[in-house]
Amino acid sequence: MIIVILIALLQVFKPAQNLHKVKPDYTLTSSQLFADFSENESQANAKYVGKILLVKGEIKEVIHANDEKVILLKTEDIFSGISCRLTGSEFLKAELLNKNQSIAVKGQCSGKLIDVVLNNCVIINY
Amino acid sequence: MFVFVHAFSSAQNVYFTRTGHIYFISQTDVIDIDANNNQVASFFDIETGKLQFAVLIKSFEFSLATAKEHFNESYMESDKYPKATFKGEINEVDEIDLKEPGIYQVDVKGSLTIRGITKIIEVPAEIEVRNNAINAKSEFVLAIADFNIKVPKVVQHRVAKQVMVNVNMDYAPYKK
Repeated sequence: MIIVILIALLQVFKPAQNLHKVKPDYTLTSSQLFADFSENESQANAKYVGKILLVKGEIKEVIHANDEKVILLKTEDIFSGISCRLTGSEFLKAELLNKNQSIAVKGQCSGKLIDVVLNNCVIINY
Repeated sequence: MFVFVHAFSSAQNVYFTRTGHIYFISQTDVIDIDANNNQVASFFDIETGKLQFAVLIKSFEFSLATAKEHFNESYMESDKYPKATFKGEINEVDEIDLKEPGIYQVDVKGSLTIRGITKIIEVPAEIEVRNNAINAKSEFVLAIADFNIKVPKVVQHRVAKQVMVNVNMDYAPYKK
């Protein structure tokens, strides 16, 4: 695996893009997103991966993972969900969330494993 | 596709995580570049000692934000190869009982696929079995040339030929 470039002098330690200000490419429910990946993963990859998604759904679980927080949204599938890895500025907000609560999360889609995976996520309403 | 569970003995013996952690670092005299991924999917059958991992390349987050783009586009070609996977098993599975709480030092051998290239690797791991939870840790080094990752001459001094990888999985029982 591995890594980088960027000529030394130009090295910019800029923070990751804050998605609060970014307009989503797609707005959809957690169930719809998961269904699209289940029906045709390669087609869903082509449509969603790298794109900013605003996903609405109910919270299945807020997972504390290695000093970070991942929100799992429910889908029609009993086991799989939408896995939303929060960006650091959202960790405090996540403390206030409850299971079964309806929320919207904006994040960048990176594909599907067990769950459809979103990164760099922000919580839109809660 | 990432389909695991069929390959396992019975659901009772299967543990899983959807938020496993993989960290890697490239260290050179010029710069350290590191990234981590908290959304690694893994299944672990404690009866057969079989393990499976899958990770989305695009969900590695870098301390240095600009590195992510280069990593995905130039080095990993993640549009073409969106996942890395590992399938393997614990060598000592016949000698230890992973249903018994304890800490076990083991070796894991299997096929690691990155950028569509599969290599057999064998790495040490520590497995801690608790009640209804298992932690597995491993640290090993990968040579980027093994996966045909090419680094342009102009930045070769900034990218290590050997990258250290750290894996830390907190497994829970897999129950539908």
